[in-house]
Amino acid sequence: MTPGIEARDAESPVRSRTDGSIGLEIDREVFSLDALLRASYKFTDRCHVFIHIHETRTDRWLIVIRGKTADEHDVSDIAGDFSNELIDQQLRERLERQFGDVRTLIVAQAFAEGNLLDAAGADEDYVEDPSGIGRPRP
Amino acid sequence: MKLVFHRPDHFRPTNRTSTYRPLPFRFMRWPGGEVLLTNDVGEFIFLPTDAFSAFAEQRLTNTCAVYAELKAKHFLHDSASTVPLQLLATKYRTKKSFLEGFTSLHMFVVTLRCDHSCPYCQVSRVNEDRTRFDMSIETADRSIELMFQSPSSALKVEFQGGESLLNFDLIKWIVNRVRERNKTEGRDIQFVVATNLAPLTDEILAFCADHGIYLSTSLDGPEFLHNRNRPRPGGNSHQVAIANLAKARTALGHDRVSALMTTTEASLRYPKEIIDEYVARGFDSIFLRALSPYGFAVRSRMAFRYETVQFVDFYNAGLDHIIELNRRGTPIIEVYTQLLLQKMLTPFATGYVDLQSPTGAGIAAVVYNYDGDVYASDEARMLAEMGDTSFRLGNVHQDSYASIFGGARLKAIVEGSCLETMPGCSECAFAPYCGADPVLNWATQGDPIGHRPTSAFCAKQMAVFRRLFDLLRNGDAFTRELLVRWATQVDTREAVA
Repeated sequence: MTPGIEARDAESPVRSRTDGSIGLEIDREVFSLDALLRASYKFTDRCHVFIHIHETRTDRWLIVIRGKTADEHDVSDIAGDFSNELIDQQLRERLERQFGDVRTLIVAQAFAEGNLLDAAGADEDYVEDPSGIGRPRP
Repeated sequence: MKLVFHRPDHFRPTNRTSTYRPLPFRFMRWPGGEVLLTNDVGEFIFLPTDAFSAFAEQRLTNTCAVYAELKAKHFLHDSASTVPLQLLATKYRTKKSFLEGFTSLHMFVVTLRCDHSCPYCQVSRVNEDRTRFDMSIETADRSIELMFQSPSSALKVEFQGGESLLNFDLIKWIVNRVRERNKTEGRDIQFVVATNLAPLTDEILAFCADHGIYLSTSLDGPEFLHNRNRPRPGGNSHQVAIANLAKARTALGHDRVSALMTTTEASLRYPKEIIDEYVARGFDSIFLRALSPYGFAVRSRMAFRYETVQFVDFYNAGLDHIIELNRRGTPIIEVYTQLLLQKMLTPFATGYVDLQSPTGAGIAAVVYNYDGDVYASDEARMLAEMGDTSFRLGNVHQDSYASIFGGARLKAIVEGSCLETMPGCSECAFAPYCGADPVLNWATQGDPIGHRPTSAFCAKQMAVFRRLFDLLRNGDAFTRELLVRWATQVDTREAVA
């Protein structure tokens, strides 16, 4: 079972509810609200997604997925796809943290007159080659 | 000093451990256990899922097969040098070069009158004799003034209608005024007349020939389909268009006349026949265009008579047929495919204003309507003809260049049309090749930002991108070479030689 998504019983990673919707408990330590919202957005054509903090286990999100059609089987599939999408969204968030300000810096440099990335090297002479770009490698 | 040339092995890394930093990219799961990675400058790579996981977790060794490719395509960097970032910035600037120079396409709606009554027409049709829907000389002059205030070194003047040639006197006036003014301006000027060709006369052709004017016409397919889509008194619009197409080519030159088609519900069953008609009429390209949800297309409900999936099937069948025609020695390009491939396979921007981020509306193209109102795009004025002036930027008689092109309305349009910040688009692996269309979003979803999960435009784009990536990876050698040639704009006559 996917870490951070816990079954409400031992048999299944998702739990059917009496009204035909599916409940998912999501570990708040693992998945952020931003990732949750981004994943939910992608499913808003197929279902209604309700996001709560779990009433008794406040370290968890309780996600309720209710299909726009009455087909319970579809909702179960959607819950599986939703779980996978959530992992990708959390990965995107982690990658963005690793990228840091690099994307912003590249865009800024693209439209800048000066050298934002290496201000000290902006006046370097290619003949003197102070950065050693043309120096033979061992 | 003696120069020594080493074998490739000499340059291959030998240490297995590597510290690298991933550079910004987007990813998308792909059928068959692969992941598509793209970056802001349009580079892409497919990785097996395990390699993707290793890369994302920074466990990739620099001796593995994909490391060098990821590095070469700027998905990672592993040195303290800022050179890779400088290169990325340069590539990014090249990709966004369509922003340079500001508005270059200036469309003049010289009349709303038209002799055709096409049910999908994107602007209100008006009887030919109602001259109050003609642009006046004063409005034309003021529009020309505004156009020359654009900083763009290249200006394309496109005459639109209605049927623009029904107000040919004003076209002559504008062409002469622009040429006179350009003696001191020194811009690169191009003129295009959008016309159904029916009012074409020898006098018009002589004027077009004298001034190097291009003609852009409509051809919806073979006679039965064209006449059905584009009715006119006499029921002979195809016959008239084909006869005048020949006259125009003789007078102006074969390549000075281009054609566009619009896909109606009736067209969906005939992709091959439509393409064959283009080949038979001597065209070497065709643009398979979906119906736009504006004007009479909405009033007659024609825009909603087919679903996106039907259009995608039509497009796919058409593209298959075009590839087969090329294989058999008949060179013909599908223009939309070519535009997308240029974005996917080259470092360059395209001049196609309808697929940019931010949108080209207002900043790449602008429309001067017959009554002097200025709109951010042709679609924006079509919307206005339906009573919705949300994208009206001002009026040539009442507003200055600064207030029209630097005003709050255009700024809001531009700010709200950057894929990089739009929900659903900002993380999409196809974003580097796609574009925003706030006018379409507004017209179809009541919101300029739009809602991607229910967007027909998004569904179409996703399907087309997936098809093209699939062809580039799994197509036969001829298909892959053909698509690369389209992207690099090599004449397809060479491709099939």
